[in-house]
Amino acid sequence: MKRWVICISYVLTIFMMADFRAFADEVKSLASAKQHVQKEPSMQNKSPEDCMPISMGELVERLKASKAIGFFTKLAIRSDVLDFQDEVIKMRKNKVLEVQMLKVKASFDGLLLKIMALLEEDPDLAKEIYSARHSIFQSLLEVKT
Amino acid sequence: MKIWMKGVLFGLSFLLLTPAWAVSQEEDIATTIMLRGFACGGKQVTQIQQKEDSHGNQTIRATCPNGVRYQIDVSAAGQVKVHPL
Repeated sequence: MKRWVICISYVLTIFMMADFRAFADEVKSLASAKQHVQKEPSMQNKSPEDCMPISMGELVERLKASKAIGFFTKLAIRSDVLDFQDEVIKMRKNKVLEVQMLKVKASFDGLLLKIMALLEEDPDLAKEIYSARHSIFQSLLEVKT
Repeated sequence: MKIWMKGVLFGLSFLLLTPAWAVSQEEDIATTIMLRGFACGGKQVTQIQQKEDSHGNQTIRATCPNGVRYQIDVSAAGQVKVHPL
């Protein structure tokens, strides 16, 4: 066989491998999305205590390591979380935290939604964050300094 | 096959097998702009200019597909601010 034929077949094999890989990824993400949709209604019925607790340190490390989000986007999320904590601290200082709890929860839900949308390519992490949302909310409310 | 051709094909195979969802800087900056509530008109920015001052504050300027140019200020403490130019 001529060398140029070998060369072309090598390149074609590489492209086919890449296509199969992309197809496999797509199937995997579709399957996990379907699983997520099936699990969601049962999660809504559970009380906050039933949701999976997670260590905040571990969560932060996993978010830092995730390749689904870029560096500047991670910094922007961090800024949003710090702004949220500042808002909570200010409300607590003014003794209006209990009164404004619905507003605080809505603000947290918005932040969570943003993170969920950004983690579209990392469904495992997105699922864990969603499962631990009540623990995360509580730990953000507990910040006092 | 010539050695340099083998080298190019070997490099190409690695390039194709890298994670398909690793985010590029262009996508990262576009996402940051949209995360701050500004319209970008696409997933990737162009004409990125990046500079850092002596205090560690970074300034990034980039143009969105909708033609709007934005400045992203990243403080040394990690605070991110976006504004259109």
